[in-house]
Amino acid sequence: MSPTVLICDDAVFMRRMLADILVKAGCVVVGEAESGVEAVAQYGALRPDLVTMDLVMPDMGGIDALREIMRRDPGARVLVCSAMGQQALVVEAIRAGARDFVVKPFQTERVLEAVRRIVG
Amino acid sequence: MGDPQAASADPSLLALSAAQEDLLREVATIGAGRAATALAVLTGRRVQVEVPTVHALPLGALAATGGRADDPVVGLRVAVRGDLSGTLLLLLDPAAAATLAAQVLRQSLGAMSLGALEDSALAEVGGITAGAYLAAVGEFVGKVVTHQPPVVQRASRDEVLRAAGPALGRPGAPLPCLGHALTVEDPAAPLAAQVRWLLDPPSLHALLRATGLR
Repeated sequence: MSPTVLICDDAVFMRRMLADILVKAGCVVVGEAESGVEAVAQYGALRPDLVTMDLVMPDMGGIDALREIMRRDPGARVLVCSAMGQQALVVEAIRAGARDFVVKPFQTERVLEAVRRIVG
Repeated sequence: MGDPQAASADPSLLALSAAQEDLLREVATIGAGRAATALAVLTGRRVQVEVPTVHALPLGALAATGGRADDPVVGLRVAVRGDLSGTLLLLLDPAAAATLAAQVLRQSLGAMSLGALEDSALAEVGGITAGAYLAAVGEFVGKVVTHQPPVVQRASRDEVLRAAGPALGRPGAPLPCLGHALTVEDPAAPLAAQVRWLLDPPSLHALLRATGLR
């Protein structure tokens, strides 16, 4: 069965780009969120197999959204995709429960590698 | 910082040693280098980095560095947060911004229509280059530096600079500004972009302290 994905990024351009990559990889994009608040709400409603999470978003940032999703569902699988690639932030995201961290701008293969590893 | 107008405005801020000025240029180069690398990946083009500039001027005077204050520009603006704060700007002339958006979209999305996504692509360019710039600087000085979502502003150079200023220091006071020019290769004509990091004065001092030069 195709993995379902929720894409969280405030830039429609980046959501389209990620959706393009993920659909070509056989995933089904079931939702898109443009803020951390939307990400948490949509995760609860959709329960996707994978969440891609930007860190810099309005209303609620990606780290806070990640923490809230993990609090509600400790089994959630979240892949952080962010330009904020500082080691301290990567460590913070992994400690908060992210399965992997892809730094933007990314190569398609790097995203696919992470997705394959997370959702098999 | 080598600018008589700025030095007369706020000597306490600008009493920097040659070593401190050199350090700030190095910080700017490290940040701009990583930003240029990110921009090259986004556009699929070579990106050149020019020599850095360090200024401390009031916003109105800063607007006249690197171009005329009334030139129309597209400003990609992010508020810098974390251990250091300020505003990071990427300034492009409108034609260069349109070409840059087209480059990014064609590189990433093939034949997709450009119009509706242009500002989103430009905002993403701003966010990614800012993220790369700040990550490099943060690693260099051992600070965690983040940013808020980017804002795309189409206005004069002066208006874009002034929009960046309200949260930074006293009105009319000089602001430290680390600058760089980036050039994106393009078959038609090179695309010129300017990076400007406006630091609030406490962050300038924190930056210098972090490197042991204050």
